[in-house]
Amino acid sequence: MMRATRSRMLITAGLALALCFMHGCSPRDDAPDAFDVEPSAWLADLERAHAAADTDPPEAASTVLREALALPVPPEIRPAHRRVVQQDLLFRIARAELDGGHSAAALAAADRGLALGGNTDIFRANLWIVRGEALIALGRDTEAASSYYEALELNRKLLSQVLGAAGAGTP
Amino acid sequence: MIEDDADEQEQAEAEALARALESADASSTPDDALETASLLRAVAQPGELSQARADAVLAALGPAVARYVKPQRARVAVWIAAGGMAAAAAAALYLSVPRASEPRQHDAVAASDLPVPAPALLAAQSALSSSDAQRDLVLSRRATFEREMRAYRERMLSKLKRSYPTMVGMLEPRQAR
Repeated sequence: MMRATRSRMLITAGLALALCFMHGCSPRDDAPDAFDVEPSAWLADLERAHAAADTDPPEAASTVLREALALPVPPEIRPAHRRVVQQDLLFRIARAELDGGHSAAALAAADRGLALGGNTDIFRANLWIVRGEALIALGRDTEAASSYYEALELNRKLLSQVLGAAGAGTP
Repeated sequence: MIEDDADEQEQAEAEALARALESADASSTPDDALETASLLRAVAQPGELSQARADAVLAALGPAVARYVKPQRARVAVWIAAGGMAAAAAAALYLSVPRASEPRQHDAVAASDLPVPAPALLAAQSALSSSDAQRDLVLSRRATFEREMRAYRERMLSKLKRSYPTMVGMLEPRQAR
């Protein structure tokens, strides 16, 4: 009785292992897996995208930045680093959309960046500013003022930190 | 045909049996009466064996029998423990495997290891936040801000590159997050 139960358990475990092996070896989609991308390669792609966006016209800049945003993020990248990099891309996408006359798309990109969260850093302040600009372009002045206020609050905190750190060593 | 008149011996045995059934006092009761009383009690309570009696029987049978009883319980305990450990290991494995597609939103961790923005960048950002300036002034402020921001971005990406160096070969273990 015990021997039969043990045999059944061994067969079940063997089948489970075989299924895991088959799943691991099965061909995957054409989309690159984040595990296949090295952090240094991902960062180099980001640098190239930013360099292209510096010189491209707004439409092309938005496209290249969106492609960089869609790149699979290597799992080694820490969440805080991933967030700031993506927020910076979304800030530039929003700016490019605004320059191209697409205020609604700019607002959507800014909101998407702010939804990624974060604390007091320069990337969030940038997103609030471009959000304010998009809202001005859309005629929503009151909301724009609120966005500028958020940006100035973050900017004031950052400046206080920087000046506090710089003044810490002085008598 | 039943004989009504029992002799004296039969009457004494009947009384002894009655006494044995009423009490467990075996001092003045003949053995055959006690055996008969036990049989009658057993018939009245079929299949019942108290835990104390079962333990006593097991103890009387000795360690030879106990050896076959205890390992059975121990084996069950081992299987339960093994099952628990396997479940815990599976849960730990599931939690430890990073899921690349999962959005890591609202991480409250500040990127404190990134370069500190220069005061010039913050001043340019602050100037950009006011919407009441003339167009030429806005363009000028924006150009200043973008120049400062580009320099900061380059410093940030350089620092990230140093934080995540290129792997030498396939056998090198990938960095843990």
